[in-house]
Amino acid sequence: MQQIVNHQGVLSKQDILNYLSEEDPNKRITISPILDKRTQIGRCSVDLRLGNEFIVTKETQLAILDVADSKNLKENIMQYQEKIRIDYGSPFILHPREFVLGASFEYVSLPLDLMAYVVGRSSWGRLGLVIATATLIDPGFKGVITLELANIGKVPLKLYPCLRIAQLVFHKLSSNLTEGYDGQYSISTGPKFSEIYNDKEIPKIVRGKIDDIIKN
Amino acid sequence: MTDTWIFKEKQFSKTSPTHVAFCRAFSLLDKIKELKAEKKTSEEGPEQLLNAMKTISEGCIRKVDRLNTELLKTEISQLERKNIENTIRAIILSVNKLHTFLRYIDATRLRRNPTGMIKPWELLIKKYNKDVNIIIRPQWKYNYSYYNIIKEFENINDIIGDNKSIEDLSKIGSYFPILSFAGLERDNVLLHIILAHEIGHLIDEMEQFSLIDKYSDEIIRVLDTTEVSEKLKKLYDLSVNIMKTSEDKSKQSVPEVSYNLFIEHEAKSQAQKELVDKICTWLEEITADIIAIRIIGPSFIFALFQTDLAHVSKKGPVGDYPPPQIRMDKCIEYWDAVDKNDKFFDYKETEEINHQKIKKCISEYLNNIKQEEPDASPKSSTISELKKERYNLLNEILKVVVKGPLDSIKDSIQGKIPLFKLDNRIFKLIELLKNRITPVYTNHDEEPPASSECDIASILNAGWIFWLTHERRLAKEEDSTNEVELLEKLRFKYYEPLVEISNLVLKGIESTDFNTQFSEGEESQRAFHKN
Repeated sequence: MQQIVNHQGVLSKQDILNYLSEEDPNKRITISPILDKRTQIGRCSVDLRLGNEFIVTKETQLAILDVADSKNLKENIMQYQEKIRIDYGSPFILHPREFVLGASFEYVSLPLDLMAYVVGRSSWGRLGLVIATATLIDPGFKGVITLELANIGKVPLKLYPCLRIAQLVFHKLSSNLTEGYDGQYSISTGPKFSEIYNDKEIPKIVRGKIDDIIKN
Repeated sequence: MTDTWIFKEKQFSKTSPTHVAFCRAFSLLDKIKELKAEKKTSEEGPEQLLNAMKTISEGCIRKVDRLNTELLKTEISQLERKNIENTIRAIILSVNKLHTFLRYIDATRLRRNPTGMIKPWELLIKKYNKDVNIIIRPQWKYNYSYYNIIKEFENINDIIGDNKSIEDLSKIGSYFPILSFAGLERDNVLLHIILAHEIGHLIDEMEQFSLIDKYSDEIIRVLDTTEVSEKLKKLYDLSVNIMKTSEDKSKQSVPEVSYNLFIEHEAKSQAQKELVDKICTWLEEITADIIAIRIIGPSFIFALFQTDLAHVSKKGPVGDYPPPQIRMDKCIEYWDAVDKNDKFFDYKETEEINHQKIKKCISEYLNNIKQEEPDASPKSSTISELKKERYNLLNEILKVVVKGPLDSIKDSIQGKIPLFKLDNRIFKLIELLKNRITPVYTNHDEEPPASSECDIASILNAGWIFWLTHERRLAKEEDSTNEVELLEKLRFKYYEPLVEISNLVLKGIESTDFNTQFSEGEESQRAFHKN
């Protein structure tokens, strides 16, 4: 096995392969499963496939999602979403201006010295598909990657589970962290809806008590 | 669809059995068509079941049409007419029954079951018989069950006697198992190991390990021994006493002597029937347990213990099933016997320390099970001491009677069902789970990517052993006045970690399944894309 690089910057194909072969699971990049290494591992990225679970929104159930309504926010969010699962080989049709949450088919785990960005594949971007808006993946993240899918094109798009839809670009940190990401979206095996109701800052902000945030 | 030529001819009244039979059968065909038109899942089972149902429904229609022609003949007698109408009524009941089978199709919709729950089990079964199609479905009852639906089709075929449907149905084969699991545990993949027991029933049915006819001589010999015959006599006496106590009111109108004779005869024959039924069920259930241990490993015992914790009712076990503690004892006894020769472990010398750790963990947990195993004897205060005594005596007899046949069954199973072995890969899978990574064994150094060599049994065992060694949390009182907070804490302590591990294990099983499909050459890749 080749030595893992120490310089910062974007990982090249060889660096990615080295990280994938690392024996220690904590120092390894895990992308499981990689169905076809030859097509999925690019010069400086790894392609991710689309999973078969989606969270669709039920617009008819709710007039508005108000983060200031802390009492009902969690309940409203639950009412607003619906998890669906489609079979491999069946299409999920994403209509123009529609927004759904999907997830990567692969389970991803990053070591503490790497972070990653999820970016779209240009072939899909040219058809109007946006795959992620919050694209940063923290060091130490473990789980499938939730993709915020939106069709900004003018025609409906048929999406099939297992299509290569996004790519991961890895960056080496300038220094190692001692603790990795342990947030609300970790260790998920399907798409996760927003847990914004867990943000303790919001109630203070909506009440205009900015001082409290600074004090804490 | 129902508006066919048959109705236009108006050759029977709308209240006749013929009319009802046609309406039901065509309505069923419509439903089958609808379900077939829906997008197919990647499993073959539901499609095959729909085809079988379609075949039989069409057979029913053909038969009713033939019977109706007979009815229209003027020369038939009143008695013949009645007979034909009765046959048509039997066909209506059969169609009604067929209609209930649609719930199996409905339950297999992908939205209800993750892919990892179905495909790998299907593959496991195909290792023993590649022609068997299965349906795995959640059910509302908290139960795991096995049901060979082909037998129902054969019964219906006997009624309709339609050659074409008999011929079409014979192509499916003799086994079409419907395996059901407790819907409440849909997301708890670790408990689904119990499905191995249900697969055990299927294998048992194919190989006829527990067929009582094979052991009847031996059973009769044991029943004739002094030890058992004395217990049997006591059992009959107890049965008579119980019956007399419960039948006191009806006694008043019958002469004393006749009443006593009747009760003695009735109680004895009931006890004999119960004994025979229980011997059959005990043999079948324990055989399925042994097969499950062989095909899936020690985790089956852990899962069985978890599900049996809930199976303690006030009136004792339901039906003829062996009490949970006896099943558990038999499983542990089997595990110990096989494990003594170190057959469950296939490890390298270098891994001895890890091996010993795992072995210790399994032994400790099995010891815990022995101490905590549920007592299923009747507890309700309304049940008389006599009934409790009879229950315990019957179990004592059964334990002695099934011992010999079970030893023979174990020998036959050993020769036919290969033993699943815990090997070194399990340590790697546990290590991955410990780091919250999906348990998929791949050797990244190989090029092209090596297929995953771990099967569903290895992953499930890794999940259980990890759960037992690292995550099993002991009950601890939480001091909190706030009910919501307390629930949240308990949820985090007991429920969330289990869900987390279960999800990782499920993802691991799914990934392994995909890895295997992609590594088995172009043909399987084409099959995968076709699905």
